[in-house]
Amino acid sequence: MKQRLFIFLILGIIILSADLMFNDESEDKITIFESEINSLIGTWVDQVGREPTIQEIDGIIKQLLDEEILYREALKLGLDKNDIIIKRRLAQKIGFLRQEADSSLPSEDEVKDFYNQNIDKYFVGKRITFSHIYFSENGSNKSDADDALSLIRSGSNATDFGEPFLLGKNFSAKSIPEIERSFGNEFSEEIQNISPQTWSGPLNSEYGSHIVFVNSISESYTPDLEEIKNAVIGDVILEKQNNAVNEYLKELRSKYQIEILADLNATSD
Amino acid sequence: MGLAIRTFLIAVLFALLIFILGANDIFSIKDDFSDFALEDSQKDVVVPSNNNRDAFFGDLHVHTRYSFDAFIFGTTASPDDAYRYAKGGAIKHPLGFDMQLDDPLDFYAVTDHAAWLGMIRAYADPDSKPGQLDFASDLHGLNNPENLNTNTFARRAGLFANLITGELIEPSKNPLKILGAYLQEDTIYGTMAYDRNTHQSAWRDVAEAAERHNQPGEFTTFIAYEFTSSGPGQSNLHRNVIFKGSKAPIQPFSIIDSRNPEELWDWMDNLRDLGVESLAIPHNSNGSNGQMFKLVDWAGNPMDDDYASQRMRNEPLVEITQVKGTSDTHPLLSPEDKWADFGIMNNRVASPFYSHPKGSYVRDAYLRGLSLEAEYKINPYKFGLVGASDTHTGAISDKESDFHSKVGILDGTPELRGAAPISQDLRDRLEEAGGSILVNGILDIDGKDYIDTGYTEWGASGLAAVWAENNTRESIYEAFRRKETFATTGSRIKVRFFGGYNLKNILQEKDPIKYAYAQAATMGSDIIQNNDTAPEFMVWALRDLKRAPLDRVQIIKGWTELSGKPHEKIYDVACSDGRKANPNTGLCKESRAKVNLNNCKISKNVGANELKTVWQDPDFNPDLKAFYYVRVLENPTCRWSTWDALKSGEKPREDLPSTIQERAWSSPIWYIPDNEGITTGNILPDDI
Repeated sequence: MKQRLFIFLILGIIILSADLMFNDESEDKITIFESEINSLIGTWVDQVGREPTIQEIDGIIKQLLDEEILYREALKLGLDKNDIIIKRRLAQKIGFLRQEADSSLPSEDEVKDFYNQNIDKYFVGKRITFSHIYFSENGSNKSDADDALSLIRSGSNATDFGEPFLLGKNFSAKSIPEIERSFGNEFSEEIQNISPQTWSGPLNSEYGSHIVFVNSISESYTPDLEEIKNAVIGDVILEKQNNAVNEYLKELRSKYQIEILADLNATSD
Repeated sequence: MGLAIRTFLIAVLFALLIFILGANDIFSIKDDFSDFALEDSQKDVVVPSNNNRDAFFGDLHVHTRYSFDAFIFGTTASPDDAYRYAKGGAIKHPLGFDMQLDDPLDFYAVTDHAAWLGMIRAYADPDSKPGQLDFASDLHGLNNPENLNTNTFARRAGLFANLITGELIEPSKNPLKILGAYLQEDTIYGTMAYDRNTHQSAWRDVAEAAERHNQPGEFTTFIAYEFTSSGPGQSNLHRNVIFKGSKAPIQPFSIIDSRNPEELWDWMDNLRDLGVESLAIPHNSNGSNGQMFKLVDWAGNPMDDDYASQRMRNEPLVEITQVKGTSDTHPLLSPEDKWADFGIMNNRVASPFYSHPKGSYVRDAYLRGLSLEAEYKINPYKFGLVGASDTHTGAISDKESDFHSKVGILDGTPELRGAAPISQDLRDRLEEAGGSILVNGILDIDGKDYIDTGYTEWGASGLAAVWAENNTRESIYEAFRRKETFATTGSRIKVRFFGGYNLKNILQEKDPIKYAYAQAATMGSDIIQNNDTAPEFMVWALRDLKRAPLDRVQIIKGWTELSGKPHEKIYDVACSDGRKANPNTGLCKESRAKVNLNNCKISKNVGANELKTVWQDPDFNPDLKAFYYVRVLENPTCRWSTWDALKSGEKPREDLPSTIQERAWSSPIWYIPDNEGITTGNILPDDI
């Protein structure tokens, strides 16, 4: 503790003397804050592995001052202008800052607005709940499915017919792409036209024919915000991060008049 | 003098105090965990269950920008992007093109490398604190838009080679930091380059992204990471750690804490006692040079029952296939297996050295497990099977005709993958960079030059699949624990597999699956001896309607004599187009299915949409331990390298296989003779 105080005392003297040395004109005043020095000392400790001596702290500060002086002189001479590295560095920095600025959790209103503006994104397609009786290509005759259908319609028990199917008999709330994945395109198209609550068919799948009982078709809908809030929050965060720089640029572009002085046909040779 | 003695005494007392209180109990951050659940997560959602269980497909092995290597490969995709991709969205490859799945997946877990999680991305940002370290300047701006192109190939290859062995693992020279690392039992804290804030906030993002995207009934995610360790000579010992719920540690246990997987299991056991359940899935045993499935423990001592129980408690599953090769078996291990040459990666992971097959493949591991049982030991290798991608772009690549491989800018084009000839431009840039460990040189094949990176051995693989009641974390995780899992090379082939007695007429049952769940053993479990009756197996496979039809379904049997001597045999149990197995060989004739190598079109009307049968082992000996697992083979289709060549207007390389047979493997069913009183290795934690 005592040592720290002593270091700061010395620092104070150095800063004061530096201050006196450069303080003849106010625009040439260089102020160095304790936090800056502490941060540099911290980096020094991380790299070297011990506390710097007073002489070394002196060196660190001198280097900081020299860098600051050269930097200001370079600015005075306009060396920052038209330097592609500096340009890129600054552009990058403001980009990062904009991204960082928007990494916080979105507000209720933001979430609501995003949901309303992107409502199509949350659209939930049609879902069908159905049962089927399966007649394989090899295991049955062509007419078996038709025969079974008429018998079931006239009162026979549906479970007396057909063959087992690997994915089972009953399918609950399946989307059209899911049905297509399991039965093929033709089946997934045709099942949408079947009227519910009656045995129908037969429909052809990639595996054979099926007589089908559609229990219900839930029409497509858009869920309320409350149902899918976490998903929306995630989307807002991503959108904000992706768009932070673009939005900012858009805002700025309008402030600038742009003139491109180049003959592109000539340079592309 | 008096002062010195007093200082010494105080120091001793202090050390004693730490010893008595247990420094690690007081300071360790390893056991600290957090509940990452979102505040308003839908805990009360009731998801319907199917007692006959549905097949769900997913991937438990995905890297994003937080993995040290993925970032060097140019990946900027976040865990959120990865989950969005799995749900069917489009995300960008580092080279700028869109990647999108034909059909969404059911579950997904981002598994970034725990070691240096998030750090490389921070070094690349000159404004961050880690970015100000000396060596970080090499990384500044690495993934800025102007650098995301193949011009940076050599820079990236160089970084990948040098960084990991260099400054990253240098210990800090600050004694206080070293002491802190010791007291907290947190080795990374003691390195010069480590920044705890960066690391923990990257991990928090991984965990919270999983929570954000988990939708019970629709899409399941897991909080997860990769423990990336290796044994002697870069022998691969990597594992993915999957957490069951929202509770997970605040910092993942990594190679920097220990290279020894047994210490990973200690840590998992310890967290489990605190209510944080997890399991680990080893992968790329093919690149382990025999270290993954050894017959001794880490220290080289014979395995004891504690070792085997602990391993089975923590590692119920193994990855059998992924981009970096398939680990079913090797032609040298299974000379009789005509399909053993599939997906062979010859070298160790990220290394130019040969990986010896013994102890590196799962079939061999199953046999070793039985041999260990013959010595009256618990079987440490009674695991189930999953497939995975191990993608490093956030997006899996399991389709031959649209392969983007896994290491981003390093293998993002046919030329870089070695499937199309090398351009003069790339050749110049490689020469300028003075070579790299990732490029072995240039190969002359039929008068054309190709880059030689080893990527030509990689494959467009694979997927993990489970049979579960519904698409929720609980149900899918329990399927992992039951080992009711199967693996595919990317096709969504569905395979049922049950074993038991009285199954002869099961396919005539009204509901064979319900009957099987009531009467038989599921994949991943045991059949116990029933007098001298040979067990029966019901196999039922359904093709992926968007890929090729099925060629055949096989049962692979492995058994040991009473002496422990291992044997294996392949049986074709169902073949397409009316082919029957020859009773002498056990195999069907080759299929008539052909591939047109000029356009990759496949024969029409050859092959099966489904294959099913009940099979009884014709060579059964009731006294011998055995395992049985299913391998389903699709008709041949073009390999990705053929597609790549055709799309580049080139001839496919003649030294590479032009076609492959996509496939699926079930977890095994083990047969247990009742002549022994020993436990069988089905070890479950007490309360999961």
